[in-house]
Amino acid sequence: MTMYKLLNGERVELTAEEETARIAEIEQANIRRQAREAAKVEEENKKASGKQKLKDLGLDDDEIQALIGV
Amino acid sequence: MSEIKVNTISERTSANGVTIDGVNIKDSKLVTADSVVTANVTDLNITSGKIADDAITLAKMAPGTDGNLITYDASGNPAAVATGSAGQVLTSAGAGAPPTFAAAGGGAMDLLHTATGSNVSSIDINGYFTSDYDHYKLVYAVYAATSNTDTIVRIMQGGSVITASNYRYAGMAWYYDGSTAQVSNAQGFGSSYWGISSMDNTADSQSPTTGEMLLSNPLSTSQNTTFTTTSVGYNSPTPPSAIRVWTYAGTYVSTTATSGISFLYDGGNVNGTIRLYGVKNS
Repeated sequence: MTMYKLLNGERVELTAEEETARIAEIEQANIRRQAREAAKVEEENKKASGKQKLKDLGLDDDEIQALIGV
Repeated sequence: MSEIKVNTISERTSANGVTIDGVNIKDSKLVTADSVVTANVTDLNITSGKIADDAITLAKMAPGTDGNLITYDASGNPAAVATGSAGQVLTSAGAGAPPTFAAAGGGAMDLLHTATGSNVSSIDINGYFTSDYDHYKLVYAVYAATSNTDTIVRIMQGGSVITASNYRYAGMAWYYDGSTAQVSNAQGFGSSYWGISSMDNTADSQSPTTGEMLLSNPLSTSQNTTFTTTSVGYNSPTPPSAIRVWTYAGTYVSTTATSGISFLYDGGNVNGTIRLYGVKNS
């Protein structure tokens, strides 16, 4: 699909070189986003497991909240 | 023909005065209506004391040029202010000179360009930086064509968008979804762009990333081009699940003049409007 940019208010078709670079950039952004989302899931999992371990030690939810904010 | 030569003609009765060929004189005054005609008045001899206050109507004034205004010149004499052009405003010339019509001052900032893009890879504004301004304000309301992307900015040099790894930036973000509040940061040192929002922007057209950028010294060849932004945005998905507030700042390390600016999303196309203002140096 042809890609366009807006230059000083005019819709201009990307050159082949620009289009190739842009597609590569979008792919890289998608890879970064997936990595961010995976890291976020991992962080949430670690929070949950850490909280459970504190519970297993006998802390209640209010104490855990006061300690680590979750 | 008879001629009467006397020193004084007195009225016969105090009620009637003296009448000569229909002109009645009584108590030292002409009392016959319309007895004084224009031809009887010496030219240029009507003094202002003979004209009552509020007596001169517009219709009594001599015609002038449409659009002229009446003023006074340096000698204190009445003068006409020449009609200006459409949109001009009356401008004082200070003491000792009449005012003139001139272009409005326009305030501290000038609108240089407005760009509205619809589903384009980037919104580029190039060639508007001049020596009239060291600082520029960009006011933007943009949203991505696809969710989960970041708003990023690149400079242009000589009309070309620069992707070299000379961008440095850092920013803080505040996230709130109604119950959970989070603070995060993002940065790049040797990046190929400036980030101005963190991850997860929504593609919701009702919820654009909206804010302003101060861009400084783009034309300088001795100082880096720098920016600061403050923006509000919204978290993916559509409709948004959280509000985000971002403050970013950064620089592009180069002694080459910056000719323009490019707004885009790292993961897809961009929509929205960006306005470029120049902040006047003086």
